[in-house]
Amino acid sequence: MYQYHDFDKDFVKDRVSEFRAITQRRIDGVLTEEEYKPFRLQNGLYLQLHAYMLRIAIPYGTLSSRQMHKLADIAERWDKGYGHFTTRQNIQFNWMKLQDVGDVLEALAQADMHAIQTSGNCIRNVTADHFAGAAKDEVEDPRITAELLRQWSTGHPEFAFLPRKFKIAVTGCRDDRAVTAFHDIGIQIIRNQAGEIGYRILIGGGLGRTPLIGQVLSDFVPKADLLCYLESVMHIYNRYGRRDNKYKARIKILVQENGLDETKAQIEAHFHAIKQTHPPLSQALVQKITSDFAPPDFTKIGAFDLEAECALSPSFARWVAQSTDKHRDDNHVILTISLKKHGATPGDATASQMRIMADIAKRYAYDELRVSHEQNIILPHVPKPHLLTIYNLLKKAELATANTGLVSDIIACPGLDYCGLATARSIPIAQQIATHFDTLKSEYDIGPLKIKISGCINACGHHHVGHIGILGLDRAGVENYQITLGGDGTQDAAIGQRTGPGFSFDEIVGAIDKIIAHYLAKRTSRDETFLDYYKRVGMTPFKDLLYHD
Amino acid sequence: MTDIYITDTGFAPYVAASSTITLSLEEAPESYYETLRTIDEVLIPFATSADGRGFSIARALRHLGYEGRVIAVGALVSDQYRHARQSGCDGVLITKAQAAKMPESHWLQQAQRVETTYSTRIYA
Ligand code: SF4
Repeated sequence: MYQYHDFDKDFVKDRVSEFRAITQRRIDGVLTEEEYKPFRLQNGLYLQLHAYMLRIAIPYGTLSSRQMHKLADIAERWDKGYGHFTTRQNIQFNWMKLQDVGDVLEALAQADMHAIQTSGNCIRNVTADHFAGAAKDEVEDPRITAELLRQWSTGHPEFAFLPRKFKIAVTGCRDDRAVTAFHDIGIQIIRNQAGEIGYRILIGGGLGRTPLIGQVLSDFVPKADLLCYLESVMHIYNRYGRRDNKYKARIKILVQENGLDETKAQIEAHFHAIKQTHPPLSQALVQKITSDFAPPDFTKIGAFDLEAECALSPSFARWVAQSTDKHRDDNHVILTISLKKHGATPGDATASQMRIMADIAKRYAYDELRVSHEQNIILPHVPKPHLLTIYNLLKKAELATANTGLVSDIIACPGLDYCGLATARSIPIAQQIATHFDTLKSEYDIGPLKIKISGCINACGHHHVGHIGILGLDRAGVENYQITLGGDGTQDAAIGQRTGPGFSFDEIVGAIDKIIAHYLAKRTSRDETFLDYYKRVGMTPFKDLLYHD
Repeated sequence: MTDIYITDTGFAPYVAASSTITLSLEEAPESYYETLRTIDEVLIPFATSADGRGFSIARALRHLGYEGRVIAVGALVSDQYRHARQSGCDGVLITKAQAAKMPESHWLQQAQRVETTYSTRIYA
């Protein structure tokens, strides 16, 4: 993991005192709320429906047990004893008091953490594949690039007051778990024909009210040019992105309005103009980051017969089958800890659950945890011989729900329960769907299925890329839920299509049930997933059953 | 004293250079740089503190090779002093009314932070 230098520590401390000073100026009336807002947001502080919400950065979703313990302490001391892991691989605390925020930031700084650039119109916390460093088919650990981008973008003087927020994701695998096609900039680490490692850059993807799939801006940017190239992207966006309408201010709209060719020409003209004078990257820094992310020594773990152990306990076997993925080393697995217990709020964890996960990571899994954008916790390197012990510990803490990737592993935004922009509730819908299919005991039969729910058109719940997406709207004061089908956030990126008119709060679970029952009845075999089935038959049968039967 | 010019050493009365121009953010300085380069001082307007276009314009001028004085003028707050300086501005120009709200000490505090940035360490 990346280890903070003195510089990083000083920087974070400086930001804490800056935040305290700015907040004091706001309290003293020197700054208006309008002037204060960009600074408050760039330090992660939102004003929500009931209270302040503090969003804490977990760069590329990676954290140590010490950091997870710190989050638990904060949850207990300054919030209501739990935290909410988000689709940006961050954590949010929903019940903050303004006067405590300086102290919370100081506590975070003690564990080399902060809330810098987790909101506001700046380059946001960079996300990366949550299986980074552990996945089998990886060209390179994307966190090396993501950390470099974190340093480059943090406090970047030119890009702190952009037209709108700016999100970057990095993947080092062909299997895209980082949803790069739906970011302002998506970065795919690739190897060219000459065997050199570099970057394929996507631009202009995004969800929200105008969902768009990112387009290829460059097929190959050499490693040494990455920052200069991104400076050029940001420079053009900062100068020409729209500022007259906040809904048209993302870079995707600039690309849409000007066309990819013109945008690319502008960016590349700037790139060539500044390339000669752009300083080269510090190789010492790159080496330091690279060595910080060097994988642990996996060779200490010998071969282990996990199948034999699974044969002794069906519930353990099911959990292993559902929660683990292939690791680059055959004697390890990647473990997903589900934060989606049936009926619970997706992505929430209590302080004691955080501590248990932290302790397991420290004792059995090389002291490393990840937050996935699907709102689960990942232990990226788990030796197979420790799995049963881990399972038993998690089970006691109600963290061993074997539903990863299934119908109840739902992404849901905070919705009307917390969010000031919401038009409908999303968490209760997620809870009801999960409970419904749990009661039917049908989720293993249904197989892989991603349901994603947003409580308004801003789409923080990523409903456009759900195999089944649910968007909660407000129709004359009544909650109304639209359904989309066929969305896909992976390398086969697709935006879900609307089935038709929406459903009421009381009808929506029934409608989802109909869709799934139809799929179960008509699929060719269990091997045909819901998404495969939808791609084969299209929308018509679903429209028929929802609106004409 | 009319407007106040702020640099790393604090407040001073603003004295315009012998030739000066206020840019329009709508026009790319690249398109008339041949004229611009002969002018001693360029003022970059900030309509609101949330509109950071001016920082990129300052950067663009420096990339073009402009060596005259570049000043950010308008609705900046003291906490943006660092951004202006690091983007290539020599200083910030504010009105007396702004100075009454944000005294010299606020700006001087920010001037000390100019070096606290990652860009000083990620490049060789
Ligand atoms: S999608 Fe809407 S309701 Fe949900 S968190 Fe985002 S802004 Fe709030």
